[in-house]
Amino acid sequence: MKKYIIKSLIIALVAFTSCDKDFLTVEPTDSQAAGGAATEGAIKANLAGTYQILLFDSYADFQFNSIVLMSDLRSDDIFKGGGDAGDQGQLYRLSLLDASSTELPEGLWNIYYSGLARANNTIIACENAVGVDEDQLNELKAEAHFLRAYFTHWLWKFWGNVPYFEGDLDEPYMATQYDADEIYDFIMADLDYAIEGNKLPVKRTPEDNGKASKAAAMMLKARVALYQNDEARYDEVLDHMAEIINSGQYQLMDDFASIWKREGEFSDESIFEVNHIALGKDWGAAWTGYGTNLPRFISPNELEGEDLLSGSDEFTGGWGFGPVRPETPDIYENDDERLPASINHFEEGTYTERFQDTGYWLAKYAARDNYADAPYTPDLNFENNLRIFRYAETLLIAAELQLEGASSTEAIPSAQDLMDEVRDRAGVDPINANLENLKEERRREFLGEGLRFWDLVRWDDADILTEDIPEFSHTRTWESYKKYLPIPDSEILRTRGHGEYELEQNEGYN
Amino acid sequence: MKKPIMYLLIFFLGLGSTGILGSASSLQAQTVSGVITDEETGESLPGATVRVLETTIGTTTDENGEYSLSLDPGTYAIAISFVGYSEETFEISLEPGDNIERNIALAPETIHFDELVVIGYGTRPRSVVTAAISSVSADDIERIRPTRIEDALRGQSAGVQVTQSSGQPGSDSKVRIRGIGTINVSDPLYIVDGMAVDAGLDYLNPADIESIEVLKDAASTAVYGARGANGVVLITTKSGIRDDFKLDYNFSTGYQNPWKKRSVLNAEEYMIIRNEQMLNDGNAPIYSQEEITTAGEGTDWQDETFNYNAPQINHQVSLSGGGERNTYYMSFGYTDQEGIIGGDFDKSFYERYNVRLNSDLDIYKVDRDFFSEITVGVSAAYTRTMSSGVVPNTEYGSILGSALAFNPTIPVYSDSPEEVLDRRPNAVTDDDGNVFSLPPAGFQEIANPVAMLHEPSNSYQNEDKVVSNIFAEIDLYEGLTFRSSYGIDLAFWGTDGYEFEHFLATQGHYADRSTVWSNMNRGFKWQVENVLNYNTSIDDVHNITLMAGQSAEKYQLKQIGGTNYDLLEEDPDKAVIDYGTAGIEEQSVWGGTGGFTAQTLASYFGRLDYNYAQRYMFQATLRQDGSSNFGPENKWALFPSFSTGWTLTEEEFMADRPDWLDIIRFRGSWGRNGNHQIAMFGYTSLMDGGQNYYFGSGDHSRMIYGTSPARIANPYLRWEESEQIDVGLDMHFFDGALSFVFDYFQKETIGMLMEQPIPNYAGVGPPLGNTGTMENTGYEFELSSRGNVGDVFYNISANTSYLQNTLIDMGNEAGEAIYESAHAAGIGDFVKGQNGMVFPFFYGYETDGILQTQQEADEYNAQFGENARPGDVRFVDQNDDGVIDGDDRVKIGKGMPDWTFGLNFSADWQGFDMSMFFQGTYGNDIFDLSQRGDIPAMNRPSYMIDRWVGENTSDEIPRVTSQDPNRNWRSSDIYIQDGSFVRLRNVQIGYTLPEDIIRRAAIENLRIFITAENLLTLTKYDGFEPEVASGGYTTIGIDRGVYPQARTISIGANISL
Repeated sequence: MKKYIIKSLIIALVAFTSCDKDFLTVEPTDSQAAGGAATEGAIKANLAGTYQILLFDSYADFQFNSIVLMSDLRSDDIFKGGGDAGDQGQLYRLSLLDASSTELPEGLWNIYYSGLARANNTIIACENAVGVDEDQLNELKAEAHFLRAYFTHWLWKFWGNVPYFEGDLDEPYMATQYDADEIYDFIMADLDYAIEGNKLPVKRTPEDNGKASKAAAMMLKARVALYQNDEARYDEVLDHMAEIINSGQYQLMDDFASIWKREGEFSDESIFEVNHIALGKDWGAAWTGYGTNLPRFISPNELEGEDLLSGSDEFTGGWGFGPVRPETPDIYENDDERLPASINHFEEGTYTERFQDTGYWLAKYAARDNYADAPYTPDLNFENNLRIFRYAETLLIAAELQLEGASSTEAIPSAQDLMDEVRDRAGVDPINANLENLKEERRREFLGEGLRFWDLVRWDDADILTEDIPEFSHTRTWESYKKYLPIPDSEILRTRGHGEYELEQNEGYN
Repeated sequence: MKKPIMYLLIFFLGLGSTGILGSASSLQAQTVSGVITDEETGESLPGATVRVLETTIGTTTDENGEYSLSLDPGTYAIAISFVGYSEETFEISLEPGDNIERNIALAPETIHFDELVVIGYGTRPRSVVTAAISSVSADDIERIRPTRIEDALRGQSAGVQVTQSSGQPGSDSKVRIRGIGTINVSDPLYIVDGMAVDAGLDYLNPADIESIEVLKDAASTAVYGARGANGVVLITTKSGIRDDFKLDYNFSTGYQNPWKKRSVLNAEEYMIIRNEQMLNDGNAPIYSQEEITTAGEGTDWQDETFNYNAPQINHQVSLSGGGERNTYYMSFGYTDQEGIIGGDFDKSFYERYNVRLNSDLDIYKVDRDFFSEITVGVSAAYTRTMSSGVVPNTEYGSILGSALAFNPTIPVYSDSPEEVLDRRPNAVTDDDGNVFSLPPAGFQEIANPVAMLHEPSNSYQNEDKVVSNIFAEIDLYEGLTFRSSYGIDLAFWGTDGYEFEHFLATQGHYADRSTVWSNMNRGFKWQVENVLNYNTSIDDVHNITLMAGQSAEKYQLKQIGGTNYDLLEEDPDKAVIDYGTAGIEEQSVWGGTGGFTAQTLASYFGRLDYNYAQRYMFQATLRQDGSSNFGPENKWALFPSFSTGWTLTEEEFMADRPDWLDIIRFRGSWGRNGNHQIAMFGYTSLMDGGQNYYFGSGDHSRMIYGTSPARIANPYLRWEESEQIDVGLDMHFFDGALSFVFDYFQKETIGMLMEQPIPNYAGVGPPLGNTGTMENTGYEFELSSRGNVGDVFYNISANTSYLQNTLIDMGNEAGEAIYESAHAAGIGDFVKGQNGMVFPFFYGYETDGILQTQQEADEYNAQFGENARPGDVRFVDQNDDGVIDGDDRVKIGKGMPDWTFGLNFSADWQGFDMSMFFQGTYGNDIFDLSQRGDIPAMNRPSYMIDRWVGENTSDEIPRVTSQDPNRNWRSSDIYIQDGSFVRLRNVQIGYTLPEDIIRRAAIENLRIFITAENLLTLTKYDGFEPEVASGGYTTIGIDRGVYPQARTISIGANISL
């Protein structure tokens, strides 16, 4: 009897407990695992995720890192502003050419490396593609290569000698650090890939606005080659400019001011643009796309009045960062339409003065009424698209290359004609096409678009950044090593003890 | 502790079950009388109970210990009982006219320490338990009257550290058993009536709890394998008693108030400080001398913000009892608590309804050796909770944080309401339309706290939860039982909220359109367990217990939610998603949550218990666990433990020991267990979704759904393992009147899950790996004493524990990681973990006073290349490298205490009872994050009055400046304060009405009481609250303006029928 009971119990126990191996394997139902075969939909989703990085710079990684503002803070056009010196203190240090390895716009490092990783992932997905039409696949690949080059070029400009990798990282999940010249070669290889073989259309149709075009790749290549002062590539780049010009698909907008408004988005002058949507960005959500914070960030605090330069009352208040220096408006000639479109001037008392107040503000991306019509967190959800490449830059690059002695195999207007075209649109008379004038023209045309500092560096004119302006708490010294920011301390720390992968700090920062 | 309670219970039930109204009639008086005395001392015992069994007749002894009963002729069994003594019964036959005297000597109760202790999958007499287990009984809980059951553990047992996260009603507590065992989730495992309950214990009504056992060492927790590493809390709910009936009603009502205000600058002081700040930075002062002299106190924002006399109400009814073959316990509970911040605006409250039914039934019972009995039972609870809460602890514009930091010079209501409304038509007003003051420039997220209370927004949480367990137990053979159970934990919870158009401040406190949102979650878990138990004794000295079992569980979670905008009408009652009018294109990307997840666990376990005549004890446990949370290469794990005990006083050579020495017992154990509390799918790399991008412009605009890999995969990912040794000593003296328990433990957690700290440039989340090591060692002491001084009976129990935590290896190359930062607030990183240090610790610069003179500043600047001025902080160059930089930051404090202690004192005297519960910590620090470096205009704590204003005016608090070239308010030891405290957590005075009075009202027992919580707190810390743990698990001791715990005074009654 006893035996029988125990036997039957054991049977019962086993029956109760027959959990096969599958019981412990749970499948996620709301997302797929990474690295598998990729359908066209999966590749496009990976690519959209890669484009999304473009939306991150104004606020992500819990930092305000607008790429144009980060670029201009070191220029001679603006000050840091904000609540006081300590408000976003790392930006103050940046503007004083005094970034340290612990206080710097580190968000950009994280954001653009995420971009690099997402672009790599998209390219891997393209290699694992199943059932995707070849032309379609080539186009997707070219877009991914363009984006990889775009993200890398910012890392290269800000930090120079950076780690770089293509594909997945294997244990210990670290990458080799290259010097800036090697990084330059990687960027150019990606751009050459994107440009060669007409994988991309020169211009996008309205349906595909926002996607990378061949012209965008050519423009990036031009910027990168110029920043590298790589004269060996100037002819080739000039050919690219000629191709854009001769395509006839782009043209300057008649009204310079209209470029920066809602209706000026994806205009005929726009070659590449980041498509911000006033929707879902939120505080505390470190990595979300949608809108931009930049307009709020750079507009005067608690603004009530109208702009004295344009007479417009469409502007609304913000946090008071990036005030334009009081003498900056003087770079414009009388009647230059670009002045009221680039700079706002508000009367004292119509807004709350904050740190380094000058009364002048950046206008192109200034906060405008009803541009942040978002369901929540309007501060972060302005719809202003970021204009990355404009046709005006194509013209001025083509002019500059010619003034530098480059020649094109294609027909191209002269440097004088190109500069005249840009100036004519601005409503000012022609001036002599020489390098000196071209430099000033670029400053006037692209004020607040994040080009000036890089221009000064590549022209070797950055010594003018050494200044002492005590009335605006602004004292700084340029030294050539400051071309690059220090590599974030935390990143160096993480590679310590990893031999070949140990990150080396940029020169001048040890 | 437990036995007297059981005893009292039986006593009351004995009376209750037979009714108390009947009174025996007698024509001719027969009496039984006598004196009741203490057997040992011979002293008489006033107040002892004399009951005639199976009748309604009874009495108590008078002040001389004498009793007298009048009875009809017949044969009776009479029971004499008294608290702290063993019950005595005698039989007596009364002939007509008999007057019999019976004097009874009661023996003091001695074996209260042989109570039954609940262990995993069974119970054991305390005398043979070889593991470190602490118990909390129903009467401990009754005394403390916690809202949440975790709070019943606070200060009650050595080695258990409970820190309430905030004073918000219903807020949780951080429970740590034997320290922070891991850098990951170190919450203990909670088992309620055999059912593992993962997500929140607030469904439990503390009044339903019979006992709580805390399993602390590996020997006791190993039977829970991969879930036992952080300790196990076993909760047993009440059940009825056979052949009994009892109806209890308990109620209390009280008022809560803040027990402290934090001293901040008043209007005059604020103006002085602000002007000085401006002058120090070379700017013109803001306020004129006249403004300053007439400013006075200004607005006391704390006074304006607190909800004084916030009510708290509890009702509890229970019905329990049983027949010959069944028991039942039914209860209904209701609790409602309003918060002291926002409670008066429905923004901070907690309301809960509980229903419970516990019952068992012998469905089959025969008198034979095998298959003799089948018992089935159920324990089922349904709970509904509703709550709302304000942000409890943040430097970024919480209500109380704003009350501390908001400008005291401006009034609550605007002086120029028309102007405000003109500029901000949506400016917040009160119910009468009075417009609140808006913040002046420079206050960022900090807004008018009273206006924040009136902000037209709220978010309500709700939960419905059913936890139920059914079981059948079969007696298969002498000593052999089989128990099978099936349990479920089904919870529905969600949030409903709205925000209407309003304006309070430019940063964070405004809405340009109305929003409504809602989400619903459904979590379901089932658990099946089958356990065989065999109990035998050979020659009466070899006692053997064998247990083997199996367990499997699965948890599934579904979530859905949505948001809509532009409500047709701004009415809180109509704030539902359907009432929004947002366009379809917005609806298609509603901020909804969605998803479905599942998690499984399968286990086999067994245990062998052996003792030789209760003198030598040995126990071995083995458990095998398989979890879906781990990588395909490492699904299963084996967890063993061994423990042994030696009761010295059972040895023959100890037979002649002195009378006062009852027991000396040594215990020792070793075991290994695990922690599987990591996110699902940690071993793989899923694609993160929602990374969308919009292509096309104008009418062509369309969203493309975007994805990217979330992290790098690690298929070898496994549980964390914890090994622990424990050495213990139990001693009892004076027939149990004094007892002492000591434990020493050393616990090492290995293979802690850690995100491998790869550089950020990898661009994706790092893989998880099993790489870290943590060690905790500690000492625990529990001492209890009871006895009487005359007719005052007292009970004292005290416990204390010392804990030393060391993070041996973070698991990364750097050996360190930052856990908390406040960059925007100008503080930077301030909580860190680092190899060889306590985990976590406060991190920052050490300071060496204030630079007093220009010469000192010049020297400092020359030496370190700094830009400091007199009045700035002198930071210490720890590494002597000639610069003050990030490398000079060190440990400046820690949030976890070295010592924690609790002291319970209770006494009874002639119907009066009194109890006090003290609790405290020693050796912990507070990081007082009450100043933000980035808001010069904010108000500050009063200690800023003592700032540096010239040579030798202060060596502790720097000058005021907004430019702050020296960054005086970066994280440093000037933020650190001593957080040690002693708190009179609870004091209660009760009175039990004499029986002869209340019986006339058909009441068996009536006790009324008054109780006070947080009556007294001794601490050096000048903030609201030394107990702060709101936020992530590394936030213990960080005060960002925490929602303080209230002082509550309540009155109540316990009524038994």
